[in-house]
Amino acid sequence: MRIKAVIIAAVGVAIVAVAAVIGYSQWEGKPGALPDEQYMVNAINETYNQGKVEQLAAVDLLDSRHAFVPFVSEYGEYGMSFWKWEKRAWRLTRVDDNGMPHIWKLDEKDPRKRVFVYHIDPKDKMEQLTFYLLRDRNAYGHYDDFFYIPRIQLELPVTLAEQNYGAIRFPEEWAQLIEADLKQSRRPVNGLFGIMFGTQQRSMMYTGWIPDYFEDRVRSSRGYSKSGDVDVDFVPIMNESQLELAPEQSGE
Amino acid sequence: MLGSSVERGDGGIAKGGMAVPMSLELDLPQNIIAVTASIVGWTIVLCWIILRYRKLQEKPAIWKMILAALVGILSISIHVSVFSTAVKLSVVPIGVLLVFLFMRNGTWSTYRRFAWIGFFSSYILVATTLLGSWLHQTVYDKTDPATYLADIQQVQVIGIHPSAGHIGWDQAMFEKRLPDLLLEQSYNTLDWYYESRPAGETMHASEKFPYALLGAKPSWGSGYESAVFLESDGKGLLIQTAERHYYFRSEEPLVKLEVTAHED
Repeated sequence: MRIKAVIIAAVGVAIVAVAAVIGYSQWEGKPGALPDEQYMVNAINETYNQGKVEQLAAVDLLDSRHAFVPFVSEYGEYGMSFWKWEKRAWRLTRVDDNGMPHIWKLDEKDPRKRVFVYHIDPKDKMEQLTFYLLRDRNAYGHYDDFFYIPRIQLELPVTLAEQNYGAIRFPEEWAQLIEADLKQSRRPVNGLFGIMFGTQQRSMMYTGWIPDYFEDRVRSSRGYSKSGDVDVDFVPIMNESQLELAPEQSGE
Repeated sequence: MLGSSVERGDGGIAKGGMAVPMSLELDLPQNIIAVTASIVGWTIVLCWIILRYRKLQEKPAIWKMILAALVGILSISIHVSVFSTAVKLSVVPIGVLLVFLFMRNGTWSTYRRFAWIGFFSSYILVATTLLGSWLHQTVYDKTDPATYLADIQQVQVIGIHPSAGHIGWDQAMFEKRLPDLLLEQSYNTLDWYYESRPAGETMHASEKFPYALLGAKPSWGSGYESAVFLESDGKGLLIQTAERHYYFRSEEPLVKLEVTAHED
C-alpha cells in the first residue's frame, strides 16, 4: 500500500515538473527593453551573408513586442531587419538585404496590426510610393441566388522626401474593410456530403504598391534574398494599368 | 487572402473525428439566442442525469456517474447542415465504448445509462440549436435593413473607388430615410458588373457601389455581421452577410450627395 502511494506521488511530481518545464518554455514573458545597437548589428551580421552592417538607419518599436530596424550595409545596400520579443528575449526573426515594401503582420488575426515596412535606396530616386488596398469586382446571379462584390481601390501615398524608410500601419478604414470582408467569406456551408461552398467564396482583398520616380527611368530589378519569418509578406509592385480611374467627364 | 485561415472552423467534409460537441457551431458570435439554446440544451442533459440518478435503487458514485456521461459525449460525428444551420451529429459512440472497456465488471450496468446520456446529449443540443435558430430568424428580420444598422452612432462613410464623390453624412437624415428602404426582390448583378467595370480601352470606370458604410452595429444579440455598401446615387444599400446579399432601394437619397465634377 505504501509503495503504491509513493508511486502515485512520484508520478504526480513528475507530471507537475514536466508541465512546469513546458509552461516555462512556452511562456513569453514581459517584453523588456530592446537590445543595444551593437548587439543588433552583431546579430544581423551573423544572419546576413551579404557583407557587414555599416549602420542602423533607425530602431522603430512598432509595439511592445515588435521592432523594425532598417540598416545600410557596407556595400550600400538598404536592408531591413525584423525583431520580435519571443519566449523571454528579443530575437532577430528576419533579415532582408533590400528594403522593397513588405507587410509585417504583427498579429495574424488583427488587420489593425498590419504594417507596411520599406527601406528605399536613395539611388533609386524614388520620390513617393503609393500603397493600394484592392479587391476585384465580382458578381454572380442564378435564380434567387446572387451576389455582387464592389471593387475596392484605396490608396495610401507615402512621401520619401523626409526619410527613405518607414513602418506604416494599415489605416483604420482599411482594417475595417478587411474585417468586414473576412466575416463575409468565412463560412463554407457544410452539407451532408461534403462542403457546399456557397456562392460566397468570392473576391479577396490584396495589396500592392506603385513607385513614383523623380526622373523617368526604367528600374532594373535587383536580386533579392531574405532569411526568416513567415509573418512578413512581400507586397507586389503594380502597374498603373491595373488601377481603375474615375470616369471621364463627358465633354459637351 | 489576408490571413483568415485562423478563423476557419471545421472546414471539413462530413469528416469523421472525435469531437465533443461543446460548442455546437456557434458561428454567430454574440448570437444571444444560440447561446441561450446551448445553455438550455445542457440544462436538459443535466436534468436527465439527475432524474436517472434519482430513479436508481443503488446510488452510483456521483463523480463516476458524471465522468461516464462526459466520456460518453466522445463520438465520431458528421457535420450536417439542417435548415441552413450547421450542426454536428454524433454517429459512432466511441465514449460509450470506452466506458464499457473500463467498467466491464459489474459496474458497467450501473454507468451504462449515463454514458448513453452523454452520447445522446449531442442530439438534444442539435434540437435546441435548431429551435434557437428558428427563433432567431423570427426575432431578427433578415430582410429589414434596420437589423444590420441598429446602431449607427459610429458610422463613417468612405469612398472605396476613384469614382466616389464627396458624401455628406447626416445621421439624422439617414435614420429618417431608413424605414423607406425596400428590399428589391429581383435585380441583375451581372448587369451591375458590366456597367461598373472599365469599358473599352481605358480603365475609366464608375463603380455602382463606390461607398462603404463602416462601423454600423447590428441589433443587440442578433450576431448578424454584415458589410454595407452605398450606391453611387445614394439611394441604394447593398448589405452583404455570409449567407446572402440584400439590396435595398429608397425613393430619396440616404445621404447628401455632392455632385462634383472630377477634375483630371
